[in-house]
Amino acid sequence: MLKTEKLAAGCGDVQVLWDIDIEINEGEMVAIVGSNGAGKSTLLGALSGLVQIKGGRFSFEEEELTNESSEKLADPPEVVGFYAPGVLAILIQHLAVSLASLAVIRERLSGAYEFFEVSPLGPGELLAGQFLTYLGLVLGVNLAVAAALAAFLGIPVAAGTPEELRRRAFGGESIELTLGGEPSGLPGRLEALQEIGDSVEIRQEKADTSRIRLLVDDADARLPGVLKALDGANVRSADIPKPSFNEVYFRLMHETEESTPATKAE
Amino acid sequence: MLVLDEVMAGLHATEIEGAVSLVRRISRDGVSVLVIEHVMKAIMQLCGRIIVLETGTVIAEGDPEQVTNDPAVIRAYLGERWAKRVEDEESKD
Repeated sequence: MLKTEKLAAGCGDVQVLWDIDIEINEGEMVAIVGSNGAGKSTLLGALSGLVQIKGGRFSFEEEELTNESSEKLADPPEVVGFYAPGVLAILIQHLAVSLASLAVIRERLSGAYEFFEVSPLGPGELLAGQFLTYLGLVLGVNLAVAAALAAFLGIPVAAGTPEELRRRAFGGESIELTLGGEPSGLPGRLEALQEIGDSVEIRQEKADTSRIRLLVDDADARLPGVLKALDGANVRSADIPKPSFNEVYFRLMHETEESTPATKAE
Repeated sequence: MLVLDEVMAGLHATEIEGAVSLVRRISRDGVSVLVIEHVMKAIMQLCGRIIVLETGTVIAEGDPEQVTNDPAVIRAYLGERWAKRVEDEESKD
């Protein structure tokens, strides 16, 4: 029915297949297996007119098709939707595979070894691999359903750090500060800020400049504590969410300017 | 002819069973099926003949038992160490 003789194929200058002789008879089910990069999909591509044939020939039902275009090979044009009812299923598959990619690889490996009736993986490892795969699938399904539902309902899907997402979800506020001075003075202040806020992120921008982002449930209520923690610090800028904090900001800057010589003296 | 390129990737066991059953049903209607697949369980259930490719050439062909016992296939899949072990076991028998 389908026959290839010395078929060679590849992309551009790269040859992927050499001298492939296969024959598929009517009604037969044949598998092509091989490791990644062995040329399996290239072979199907060559038989579909999608990959350049560099030598040999192939025929289908005695008809020579080696030099036919993909349009002719797919005549009548037909796309078979197989086991993927829409975008959701594809999304589920991709999410599941990416979430459990390691486990899937491991399971595939164990499958290959089972194929040869030897198993270098212990029962615990196999069980752990299977558990992770199912966990990934469950998570993937849940995430995909949630994402599809959110898209259907027009709910914007948020992206960001866990702290940012938490703040969006629960309405917290962030205070951003730029501090000058030696980083060695920071640990004590960070400790005090951590007690006040839900989370503290710090980024060292230059040798003498640090940016701090403090997430708090209520900036109004927490500001006195923040000011206390920053007492004597060289605050170069402060971004505080509410307009009413402008007054505090200027006070903070003013106090900082006054305290800067003392900070330097330390 | 139905050509399937790794359609079972990412499916869980129940879905694979469903896919195998569907392919078998299609085949019973006289449709030839050419399958590329990494899910060995599905291949063993479906296919009477397996062709093994390695670096662009056919290294083995036959029924599942012939292929799984082929030294070239064992070497390609499992490495030299396993191939030697299988050969040693066979020589003992």
